[in-house]
Amino acid sequence: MTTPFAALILERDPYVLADLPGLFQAYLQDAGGFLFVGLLFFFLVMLLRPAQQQQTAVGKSLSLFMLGCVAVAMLCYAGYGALVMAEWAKPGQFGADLMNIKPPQDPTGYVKTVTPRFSLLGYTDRDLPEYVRPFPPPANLKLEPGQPYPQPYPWQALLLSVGGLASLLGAAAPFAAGMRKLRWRRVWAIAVLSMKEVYRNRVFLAFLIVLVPFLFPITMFLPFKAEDELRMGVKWVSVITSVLLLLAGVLLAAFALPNDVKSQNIYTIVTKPVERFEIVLGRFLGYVALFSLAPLLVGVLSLIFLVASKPSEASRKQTETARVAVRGKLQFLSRKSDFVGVDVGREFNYRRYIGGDPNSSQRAVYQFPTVPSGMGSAPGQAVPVEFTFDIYRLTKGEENKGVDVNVRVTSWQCPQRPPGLEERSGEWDWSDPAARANYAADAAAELLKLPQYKNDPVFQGDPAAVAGRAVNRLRNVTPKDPEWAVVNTLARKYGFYEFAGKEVFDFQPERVFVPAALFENATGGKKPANAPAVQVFVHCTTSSQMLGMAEGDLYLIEREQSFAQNYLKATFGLWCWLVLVIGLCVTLSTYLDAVVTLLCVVFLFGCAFFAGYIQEQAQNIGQGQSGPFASLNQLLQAKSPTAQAENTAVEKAADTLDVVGAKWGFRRLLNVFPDVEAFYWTHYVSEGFNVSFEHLFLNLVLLLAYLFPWFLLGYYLIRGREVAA
Amino acid sequence: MAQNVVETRSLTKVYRDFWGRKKKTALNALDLTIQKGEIFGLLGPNGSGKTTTIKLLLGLLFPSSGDALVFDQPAAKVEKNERIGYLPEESYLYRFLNAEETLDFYGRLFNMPAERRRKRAEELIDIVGLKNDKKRILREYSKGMRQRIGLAQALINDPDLVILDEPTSGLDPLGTRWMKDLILDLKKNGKTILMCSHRLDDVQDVCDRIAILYNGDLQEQGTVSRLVEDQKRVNLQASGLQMTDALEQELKAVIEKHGGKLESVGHPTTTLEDLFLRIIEESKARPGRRYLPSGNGN
Repeated sequence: MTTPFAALILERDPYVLADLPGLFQAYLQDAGGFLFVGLLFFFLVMLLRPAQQQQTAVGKSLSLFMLGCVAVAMLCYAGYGALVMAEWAKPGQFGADLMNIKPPQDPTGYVKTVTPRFSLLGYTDRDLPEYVRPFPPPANLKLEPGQPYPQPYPWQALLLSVGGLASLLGAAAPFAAGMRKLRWRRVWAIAVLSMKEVYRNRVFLAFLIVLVPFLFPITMFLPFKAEDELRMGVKWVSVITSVLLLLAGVLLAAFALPNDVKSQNIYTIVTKPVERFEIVLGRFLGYVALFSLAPLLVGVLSLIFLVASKPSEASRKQTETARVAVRGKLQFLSRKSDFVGVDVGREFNYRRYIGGDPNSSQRAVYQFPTVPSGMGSAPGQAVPVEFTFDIYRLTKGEENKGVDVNVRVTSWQCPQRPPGLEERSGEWDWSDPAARANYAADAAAELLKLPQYKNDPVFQGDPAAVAGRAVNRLRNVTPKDPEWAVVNTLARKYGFYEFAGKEVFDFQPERVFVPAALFENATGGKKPANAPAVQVFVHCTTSSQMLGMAEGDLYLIEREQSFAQNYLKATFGLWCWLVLVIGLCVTLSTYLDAVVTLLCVVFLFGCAFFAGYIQEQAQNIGQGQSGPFASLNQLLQAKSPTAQAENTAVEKAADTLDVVGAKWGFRRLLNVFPDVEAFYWTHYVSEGFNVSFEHLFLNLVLLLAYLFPWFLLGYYLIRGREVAA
Repeated sequence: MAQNVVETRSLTKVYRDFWGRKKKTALNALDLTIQKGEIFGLLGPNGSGKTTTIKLLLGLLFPSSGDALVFDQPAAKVEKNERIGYLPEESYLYRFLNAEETLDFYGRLFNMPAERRRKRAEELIDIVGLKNDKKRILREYSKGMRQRIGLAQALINDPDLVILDEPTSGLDPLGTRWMKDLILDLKKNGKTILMCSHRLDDVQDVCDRIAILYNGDLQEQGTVSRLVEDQKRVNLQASGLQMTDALEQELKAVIEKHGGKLESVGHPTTTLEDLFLRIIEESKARPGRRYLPSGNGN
């Protein structure tokens, strides 16, 4: 049993603070939309069911405020609808929702990242770059490199946001008024009751007894490759603790309130001066408090077991660390402007490839928009660049030999240009040839200052030849070499460094060191706003081999931190999952029966893991793939799925319904699922990458934002419920 | 003018299914008032609407129409619960807590400070006679003990209105008498009590006024003494003499002279409850076997 890849697979970037404005906009649009529907339903129930009025009715001024909010939201949504219709009327447009835009011909033609919009947590347009970028740019639009592409349909986005905000305010107003009546002593009493219930009924004890045997490292029972021991141990513990804790959390939280109602214990609580939402909150906080201890306890225990299992040195080297990685954006470039990397036909098409040849102009370029200021003074005047590449062999090659790679690192002060279409060489040159010449001359001068070169006949004679040799000599020095001071001096002045002939093996992490002074150069001066601070050019020089890479495969290492601390930080993700399922269970069980609640939460949480697949299916509708309406039509007409389209009115109607209705429906369905993958950090820990506090903070924000509409729902349901009915 | 503690105006409750279709009218236009300091009994057979009325007053159910006011506030208002104590028919308490913890928990729900909670819990445990069992979890309690701790939780806030749903349910005769005495004590302390019960003798013993419900409709309402009084009959009781034929004839003659008819004459009987209680009290005073079987085995 081996791990398929000894590298961190980053299919999406974790959220960073810069994403917050976009996420907030997306939240207003999507959560607001759901709350608008909820508000309409609330008013309908108030009209039709007078019995509920007395209990759920809010004050007169609050009702007027809510009505006002609904009116504003209605106006905004009507305006949005009108704009969509207007867009539709334009020739060549296929609906105005971003989901309906066709993919671009040239996916690298526009910027990589766009502020997330039009979707709820997790499914931002940053994850769908090809569906954001294709918005056809006006012919007269001139974009600087790296300049964000203007938002398509800005008025529609604005109207949706304002409508969502109005709905959010309208729905949250009674909740906010109700929160003022809450007494935390009562909430805490109910929370403590929940904890005592779990403890006295020995649920927790039973769970711990089941869990402890699983905490022993799996490597004690199954053999793994030496370097995978710790990695597999971390993954195993993570899977087991997640499954068991989530199971315990769901079972306890889903049955709590329904059991109170069924056993009628709730009668003695709601007949006290207790706001009903205090019961929901108390139950929630009680279980959260209890399950906050569990991941921590399990984390510490499993860490002790892992360390005590004495993993191999190779595995410790790869996993027992917490590398603080600085990641960039990946672009594939060559002399041809339409080069987007080669798809070698692997089923797992996570990576793209560049062809290997000394004369190839194909480069994988990692662009770092900024670099931490401290990198310029890194210890040993060296900053590691680490990478793990996939080698796709077109010929058998040599046994036990990898492929050679040149890694060129440049700051924004040293721009590079691809060779022209007519040039024979595939070498990328400096944009400023004079600067290149000066660099070479300085390289020779600096090198000759070192005693071992002063009398070296190789470095005597024609200054141009000497300069060339000096540049070549400096292409594979390491921090231990005396020449390291020279490369630092040159990098400080020119912002350029190249390491040539680094041998890399399939999925083996490798490092080259970059002079720290290059980062001094990158952080100095006045950088143009959209230029990347540092670029790393990867060139495969072994002929007939292809080198595959993805965005997460190369990174700069800022520093390394403690593995133990990182391991415990990753349990925060598990805690978020637990809080999420407990919150869902408690809020849904305000109305639903325990078993139905359980099924709903399992459905929501389970489907969230397949959200990517659902999203992909939804996107493909109308772009070569039939949707549910077209399939239904085929079924009713007893047609084969491969039958030729006849373009009848019914088929056209079904296609339109798919593109407009089904896509919209799928999108809304995706909005309801929690973004569970955003809270998963085990792969970071098992691959030895630091989980930053910024990511954890955003996890917390995401968690609270996702749960808030559910708690609003719970608030209305528990207030409107006849507990004795 | 007497202050109304509870008032219902045309209070109606119709149970409906999920689709809003009518299933049953549990209560139909109930009008009643309960005044401060009185013990009010709700009587009726199963399904007559007694418990529904109580649940509507407590906000556990919402009225289909009409109003339910408690302390002049709508029943849905949470604030009114500050002055209410409620003992459900079954003692619906958390069985993993002990008596002390139970009272502490309910005290917290009233936002009572810790010291007051502790003192009040001690006092109530003493009143309900569970001093020796206060550390046992409720799962180990008998039904009667649970009813006692249930009453204690209903009184934790020293309520002005105590609502008791079948308070003597599951209690033995001693417990029943204790409960009735406690209810009378509460009245003495100025509390208002609303109770419903199947046991007519309980209601008769303690209630000032009663309402009789049948099929959701109010059938009768008034003071117990007025409702049970039979104006067409006269009861005579005398002491210090033995019943003889001569006495019976003389009494018959007097009654016939005034246009009446002597129906029966004899020694009065006590109630079974009084007999039971007397025997228990005597047994406590003189332990040992009391009953000696007669020779014929009867």
